[in-house]
Amino acid sequence: MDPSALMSRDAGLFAAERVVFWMAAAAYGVALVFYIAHIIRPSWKISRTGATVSLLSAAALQTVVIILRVVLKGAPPFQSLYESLGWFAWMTVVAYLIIEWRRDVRIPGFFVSLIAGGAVLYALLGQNPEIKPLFPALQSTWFFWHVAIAFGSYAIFVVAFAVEISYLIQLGLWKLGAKVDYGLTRENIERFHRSVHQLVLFGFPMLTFGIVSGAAWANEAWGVYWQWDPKETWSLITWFVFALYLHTRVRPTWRGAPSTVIMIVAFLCMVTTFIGVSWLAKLFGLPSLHLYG
Amino acid sequence: MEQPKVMTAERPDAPKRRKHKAFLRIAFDWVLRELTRIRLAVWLLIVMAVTMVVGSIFPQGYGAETYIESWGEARYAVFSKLGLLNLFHTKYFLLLGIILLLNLVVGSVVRLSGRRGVSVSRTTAPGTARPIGMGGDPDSAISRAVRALTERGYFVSRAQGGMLSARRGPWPEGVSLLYHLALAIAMVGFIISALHSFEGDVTLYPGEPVVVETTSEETGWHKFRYNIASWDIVSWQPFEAVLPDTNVGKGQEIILTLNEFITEWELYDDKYYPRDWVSDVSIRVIGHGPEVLWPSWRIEVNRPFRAGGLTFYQMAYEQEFDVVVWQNGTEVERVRADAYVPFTLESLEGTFFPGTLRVGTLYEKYQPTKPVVPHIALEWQAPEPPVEEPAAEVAVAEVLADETPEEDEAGELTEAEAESVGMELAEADSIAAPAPPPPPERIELGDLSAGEPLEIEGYTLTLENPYEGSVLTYRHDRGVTLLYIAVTMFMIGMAIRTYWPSYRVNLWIEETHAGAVGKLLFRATGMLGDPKNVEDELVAILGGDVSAPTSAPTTDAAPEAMWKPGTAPLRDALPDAPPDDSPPPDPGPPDPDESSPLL
Repeated sequence: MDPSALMSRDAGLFAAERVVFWMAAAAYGVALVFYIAHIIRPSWKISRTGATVSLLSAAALQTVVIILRVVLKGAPPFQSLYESLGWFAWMTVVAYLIIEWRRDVRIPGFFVSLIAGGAVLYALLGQNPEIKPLFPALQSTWFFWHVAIAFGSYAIFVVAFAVEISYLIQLGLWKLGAKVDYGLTRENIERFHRSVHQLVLFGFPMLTFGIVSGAAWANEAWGVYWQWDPKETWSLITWFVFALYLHTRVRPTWRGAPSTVIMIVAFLCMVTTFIGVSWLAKLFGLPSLHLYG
Repeated sequence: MEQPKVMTAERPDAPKRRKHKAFLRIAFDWVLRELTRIRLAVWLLIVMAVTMVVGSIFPQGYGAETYIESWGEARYAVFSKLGLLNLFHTKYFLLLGIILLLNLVVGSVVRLSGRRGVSVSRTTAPGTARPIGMGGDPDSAISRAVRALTERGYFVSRAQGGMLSARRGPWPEGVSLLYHLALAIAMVGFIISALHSFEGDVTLYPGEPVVVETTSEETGWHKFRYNIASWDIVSWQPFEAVLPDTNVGKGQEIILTLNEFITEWELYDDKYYPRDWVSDVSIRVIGHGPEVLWPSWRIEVNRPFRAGGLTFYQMAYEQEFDVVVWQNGTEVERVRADAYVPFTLESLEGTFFPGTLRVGTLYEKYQPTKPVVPHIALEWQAPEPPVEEPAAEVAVAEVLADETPEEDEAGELTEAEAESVGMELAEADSIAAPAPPPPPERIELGDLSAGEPLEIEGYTLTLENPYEGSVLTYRHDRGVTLLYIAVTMFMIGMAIRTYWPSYRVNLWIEETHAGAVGKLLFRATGMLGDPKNVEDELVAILGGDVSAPTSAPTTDAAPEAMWKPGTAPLRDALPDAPPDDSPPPDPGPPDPDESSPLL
């Protein structure tokens, strides 16, 4: 093929990627509706099946988006915030679908589709989809492993957060006497709380690897492994707070409300690391080595 | 022969000394006990996290000028005094780190020694234990259980007093020690980095050798020693003897010569993006042993070079070029300029602002590579208008000239408006800060190119003799090696703790009229395990369930045992569950694994 034909093919793929991305966003919306229906009427089979199928469709559509993006730029798709948000949503949904399949729970799906759908909409409406060549510092094998694994931990933590919020809501309903409608028992609800610990335990080594691989990469590219850049600092804060959460399992008195509070704080720290730091850096003009978007 | 004196409690100082020793002992025990507490670790993590939040809000480690420009002198002075601008290098932060380090090391070692090891010490089984009909008398039941567990790879740590403890899988305390010591080693690595690392940069131009020393006095340790040595107590410097000797010249010398600096660009959507910077250098290491020579080595971004304990990184570049001004085909002016540095010309008024000089190789998608035609983006700014006499000076002059307000005829500052001259001056000062006129806008002139001349007001500008130098940074940091070791240990420890199955069995054996009955407390960690099947298999081997299990599922219950909200299994399961408003079942004794996920 001559170069001009290849360029027009790229333009077509780019347009197709945008369309498929919008379709994925719509699928998230449909999934959200089904999950709400499931919460309102858990025994309704259509809502159960519809929620899972629509979320699976969204994940499949986003897989197509990611493949198209990789073909177009010839590099992993997490250079800009537009790409990172899509990757984050995809990993979150895939992680959640695995949990849903293994444990047959659906209430957290509402929060997962809300967060993933929100991330996708923010990418589509608020970010520049332009494809840019990789900067020299990003041309490293660390780029894939660092981002992919760190986002894997983010995905696990989003699911953990969704399960924790589900636990809180169910606990509230149980205390309000909604046990007749939902068939909730304290012990059953507590299992949600304990599952969060398992999820965080699973994601924590991944977060550690994400931070460590970033430091190793910085050492190769910039000659210094740690510079207390706002992004680096917040990733360490996130690590500290998740470590704190894991330590709350040490004593029975810390396993209830304190661990829930720390879990929510840890999630907020994670969101700050991912998006908040870039916002703050741009808002206050703070210097950051991680502003690529 | 004189008898030796017998030391007795009758000595007058003896009671005091004992009391002193007892106090020290109590204090030491208290410190040791506090250092082993997880509560201390939790509070340290909280304090350090909050400190880091503050440190992320205030940009760290910039020069005073940068802060003053952004915040003004007063605010800078306050923030600087509070240590907020170099928070991560303050003594307080270092102290927090050292306490955390001690907490990690002491806590891990003490737990490993078993002093604070969590063990099941209760003599009766908790309510959550699973009954097993073992039959026979308790002693034979224990013997059979020991044999069965040993055959299945369990390590039996206790089998007496009607109770049996066993475990299978990685040793939890050992794994915990591994990753906590890894953290401690990492912190030692950080401290070594902080004390012994140094860095610098060199600018290389083709054919011009530059010498870099592998030692430096610009390390934290040298500064620390120098500060100690400089302590002056009434003209007496007690630590003068430890003044650091210069170590410059005692190391090796690395001689770098730039063979070629290669820049690569990528044209994408009509914009130039940097693709790579490569320094082809010859490197010679001399001193301490045979001379080593690398005649041609490519240092590029993400591909540093290591020699003599230093690591060299491709960091930046220096660019120079000639701007030639022509009029009617005659050269009227020639100026040597640097990229990003504004310059002026005699022929043309105003200031010129160059961007990046683009030379080297151009890559374009689906196109063959080609050389870049050297060019640089140029902007121009008109001269700033002459500054008018500030209004404030006029006002102040007027005030000073008017000795009495009554004599003021100008009407600007009357008695009714101001009661004293001082107040008038204050008012005049308030006028003294009019907003400076905005600088003239910069205008894009286009590219100053070696190929196409740029026409400006009857003059023609061309670019000639583009020249690039490479900027390399270098760093000496022995702490990094320790960090790599620590990270490897930590990841292995965490991976084992998180994924590798580990089972713990506690069995209480009681004698009943129907023979021995075992009460099993089974705990599992490690996500790759199959706790439900392993427990069921164990129960079957030991004698089978006495009745339907009444125990609550363990923390690491199998997925199948988990509640499935809104599904039939949930409602079917409800009759067996405790009443809704009943308190949660007795959690039983603290479980070593669940109770200390990390510790």
